[in-house]
Amino acid sequence: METNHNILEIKDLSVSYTVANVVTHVLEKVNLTVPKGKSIGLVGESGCGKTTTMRAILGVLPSNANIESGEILFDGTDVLKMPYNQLQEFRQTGAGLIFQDPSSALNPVISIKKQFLTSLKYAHKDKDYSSAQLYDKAIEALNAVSLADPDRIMNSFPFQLSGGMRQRVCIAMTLAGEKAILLADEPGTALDVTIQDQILRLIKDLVETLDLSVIMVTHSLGVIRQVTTEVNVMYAGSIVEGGDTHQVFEHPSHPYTIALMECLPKLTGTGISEGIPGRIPDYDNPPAGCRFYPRCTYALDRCQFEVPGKTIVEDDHWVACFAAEEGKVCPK
Amino acid sequence: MLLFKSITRRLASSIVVLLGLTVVIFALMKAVPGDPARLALGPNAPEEVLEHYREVNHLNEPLPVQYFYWLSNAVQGDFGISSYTQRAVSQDIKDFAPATIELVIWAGIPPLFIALFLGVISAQHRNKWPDYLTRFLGYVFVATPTFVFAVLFVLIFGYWLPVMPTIGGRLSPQFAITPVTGLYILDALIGGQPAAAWDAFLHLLFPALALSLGKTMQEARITRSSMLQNAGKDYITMVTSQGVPRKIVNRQFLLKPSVIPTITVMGMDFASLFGNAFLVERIFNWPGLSSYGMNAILNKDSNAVIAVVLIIGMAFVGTSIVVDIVAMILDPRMRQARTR
Amino acid sequence: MTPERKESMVRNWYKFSAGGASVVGLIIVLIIIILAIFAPLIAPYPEDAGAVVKFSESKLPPSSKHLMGTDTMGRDVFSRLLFSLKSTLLMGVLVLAISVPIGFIVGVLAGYYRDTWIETVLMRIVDIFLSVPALVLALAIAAIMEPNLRNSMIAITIMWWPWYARLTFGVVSSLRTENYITYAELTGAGLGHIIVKEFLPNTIDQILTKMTLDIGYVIIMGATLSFVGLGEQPPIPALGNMINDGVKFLPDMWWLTIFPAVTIILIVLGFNLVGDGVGNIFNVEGN
Repeated sequence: METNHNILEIKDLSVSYTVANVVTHVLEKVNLTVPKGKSIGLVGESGCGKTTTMRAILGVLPSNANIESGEILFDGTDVLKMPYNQLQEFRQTGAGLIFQDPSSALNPVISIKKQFLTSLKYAHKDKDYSSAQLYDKAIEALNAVSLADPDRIMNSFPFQLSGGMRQRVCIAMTLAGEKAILLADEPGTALDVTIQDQILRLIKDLVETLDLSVIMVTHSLGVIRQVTTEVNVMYAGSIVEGGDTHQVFEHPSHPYTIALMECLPKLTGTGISEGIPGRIPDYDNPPAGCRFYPRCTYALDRCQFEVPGKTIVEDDHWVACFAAEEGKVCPK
Repeated sequence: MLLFKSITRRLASSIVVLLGLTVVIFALMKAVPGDPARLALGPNAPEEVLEHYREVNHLNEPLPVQYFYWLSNAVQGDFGISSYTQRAVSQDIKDFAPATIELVIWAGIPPLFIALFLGVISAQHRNKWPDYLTRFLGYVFVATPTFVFAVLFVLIFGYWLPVMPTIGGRLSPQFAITPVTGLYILDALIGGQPAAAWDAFLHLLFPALALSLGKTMQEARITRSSMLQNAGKDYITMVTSQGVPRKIVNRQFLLKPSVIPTITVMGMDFASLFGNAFLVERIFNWPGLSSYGMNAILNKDSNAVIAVVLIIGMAFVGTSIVVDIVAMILDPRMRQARTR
Repeated sequence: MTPERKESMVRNWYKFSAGGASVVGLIIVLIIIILAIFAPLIAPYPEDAGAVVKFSESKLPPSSKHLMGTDTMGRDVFSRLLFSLKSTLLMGVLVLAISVPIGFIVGVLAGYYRDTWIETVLMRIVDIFLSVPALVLALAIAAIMEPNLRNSMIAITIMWWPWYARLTFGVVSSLRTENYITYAELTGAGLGHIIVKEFLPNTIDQILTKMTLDIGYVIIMGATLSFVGLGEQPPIPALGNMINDGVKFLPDMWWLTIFPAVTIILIVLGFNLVGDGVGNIFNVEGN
C-alpha cells in the first residue's frame, strides 16, 4: 500500500435540488481529495453547498436532491454506486458526520442512551461487543468530549440538555464510531469560543492519535488555519481555490479568497472590513461563466461567459480564475 | 409523580365540566315545550294523577331546586323513569350500554392500528400506488357521512352481496348467548360457541366499519404526513448516516415521534364514535345506548336524554384523560412540561 | 392591479394548486354552486321540488327521461337533488358565518384576559360544549325545537363556535405576552384596536383554513340532522331527508338512496380539497 494514498476522492460531483418544479444546481463539478490521516478544510459562506457535499458523501441527501454526475471514491470504490449493504458498511465504518445543528440532530423522544447505543452497535457491528462494552465505549466518548457525569447524560432526553451538551453528545456519538473519516460540519459553531476551541483541539488530537482523516467544514478561516493541512475554498457550489493551507494563506489567488481574508477581523487592524458586496447568486439561474463574476472586483469580460479551469499557482496550490491566470489579481 | 398530579388535576377539572354539562342539558330538556307529566303519563291520565306525578317528581318547584333534586338522585345512580320505556333509566342504561361498548371497542381500537399501518405504508411508498390508493380512499371516506356509509353498506352488503345479516341486531335468532361480560363475541367464545361468535362478528362488522372507516383513513393520512415530515429531520439523517439499517430507523426512530402528534387526534376520534354511533345503531338496529338515546331525543324523554348525554360526556372526558396519559408515556417532553 | 399584488396572487395560486387535487375540489365546488343557483332553470321538472304527485311516473328506474329515476310520488330525483343543493350550501356558509365571529370574540376575550376569572368562565363554557360529541347535543337541541332547516342551523351553530373559541384562545393567549401587544397597550391602544390590528391578523390564516375545511363537516352534520327528520321537512327536498325516504325502499329503489348519497360525498370532498389548498396557501396543517 502506498503511504500517501487518498482515502476519499470526490470527482466532478454535481448535485441539484428540485424545489416546487424549479431545479437549482447547488453543486457544480466539485472535486475534493482527502489523503489518509490528513485533515482538509472546506471553507465558504453559508449556503455555498458545504453541507450538501457532506451529505452526498454519506448518501443522506434530502429526497428532492439529484446527483447529476460525479463519483465519490472511498478507497477506490464509488459510494454512489454501492449496493445497500455495502453503503451501510461504509456508513458504519467509513465516514461519520458531525451535524451542524445539535438541537435537531438528536431524536426528541428517544433517550440519549438508546440513540447512542444503537449507533454504536452498528458502527462496531464487526467487533461483536456486548452491550456493556458498548456502554463503556459511549461513556468513554462522552468523557473525551469533556462532558461531566456521562451516566446521567446517557439517561437523559435531548430536551434536558443544553445546546452545548447536545453538540458534544453528537460529536461523541460520531467519534465513538471510530470511523475512518470524520466529516465535521461546522462543529462547535453553536458553542462558546473556549469550548469550540476544546473541540477543535480534540479533533486535531484524534487525527494524530487514531490516524483519522477529517473534512473540516467551516466558514471560519481561523479554524482552517488551526486544524487543517489542506484547504478548499468553495463558492456557490464550486471549489474556486485549493491547496496547502500555508500556501493558500500566504498567497490567496482567487478574488473570493482574498475578499474572505479581508473580512477576517484583525487584532491590529482598524475598523471593520467592508465585507463582500452582493450575495451568493440564485442557483436556479446561475451565471453562465464564473459564479463569482457578479461580485468580482477583478472581473474580465470572458468571466461572464466562460468557466475558468484550474491554474497552478505554486507546487501545491491551484486556483480557478481567469484574472489570476493572467496575473491581474493582486492582493492589497 | 408528575403524571399522577396532572391526572388528578385533569379529573378535578373534568368533574366541573361534567357538572356544567348536566346544567346545560338539564336546562335544555326543561325547555321542551309541553307538560312533562302529560308527556310521561299519556293523554288520558286524570288531573289528580298528573298532579301527584308533579308532586313526587318536584315538578312544581323552581328549576334550580329541581336540578338539585335531580343531581342528588343522579349521584346515587338514580336517573328517574324513562317516559318512553317506562322503566328506570339506570336499568335501561345497564341493558343497552354493553352493545355500544362492544361496537365502540371494535370500531375504535383495531382501526387505530390499521390507520397506523396504512399511514406507514403510504409514507414508505410515497407517490407509488399504495400511497395513491390510501390517499384517494382517504379523501373519499373522510367526505362520507357516517349515516351514508351505513345506508350504503345495508344496500351493498345486505342486499347486493348478501354477506351481512339485514335484520340487524347483535345476533341471529337461532343463537343464544349466556351473558358474562355483555360483549357478545367474547361471551360466545367463553361459552364455547364459535358459530355464535362468528354470527355476532358478522353482525358487528358492518356497523363497526361504517363507524370507523372515515376516521381510519383520516388518521392514516395524518400519520403519513407526519412520517414524511419527520423523515427529513436531522435526527433521522443522523442515525441513517451512522449506518443504522432502514428498518430499524423506521421502526425505532421515526415511528415514535411521528405517532405522538396523531395520538391526540386519534383520542378525539375515538371519543366522537359515541356521537356517530347514534346514527349507526339506528340504521343497523343495534340495541345500544346510542339508539336508546336517539329514541329518547326524538321522543323528548328528558330523563333518558340527560342520562345518556351525561354518560357519553363521561366517556368522552375519560377518553381524553387516557389519551393524555398515553401521550405522556410516549413523549418525555410532556412528562416534564408544566401542567397548566 | 399592482404587480406585487398580481405576483402574490400567482404565488398563492401556485401553492393552492400544488398537487392538483385542490383544483379538482375547486371545480367540484364551482359546479355545485352553479347548479344550486340555476336549479330552477336546469331542473327538467322544476315543479317536482314540491308536493307533486304523478302516479303514472312513480318508481321509475333511471332512464334518459329521468336521469336518476323517480320516487314513489313520481317526482324526478334529479330535479329534487338540484333543488336540495341551495339549502345544503346555505347550511355550510351560514353556520360558519355566525359561529366563527362568536367563537373568535370569546376566544380573544378569554386569551386577552388570561389568568383572570373571565378566562376561567369563558373557557369552562367552551369545555362544556366540547365535552360531548357535537352531534349528540346538536340532536338534542334540534329535537326540542320545531323541526325545520333554520332550527337545525341554530342547533349546529350552538355546537360549532366553541371550536373557534378554542383555536383563537390558543393563539391569542400565546401572543398576549408579546412585547408589541404590551407596547400597543402602553401607547394607549384600546382593546378594539388591538383585536383588529394585532389579534385578527395573527389568527386569520388558521381561522380561514379551518373554515374551509369545516364547511364539509357542517354540511355532513346538517345532512345527518335532516336524515333523522330534524332538518328541512318534506316535501321540500334535502339530501338527508331524501336518503331517509330512500332507505325505506331498499334494495329495489336503490336510486333513491345512491344519488343523494354520492352527491353529499362529492360536495364534502370538494370543500375538503379546497380546504387543503387554502391550508397550503397559509402553510397551516389541516387535519
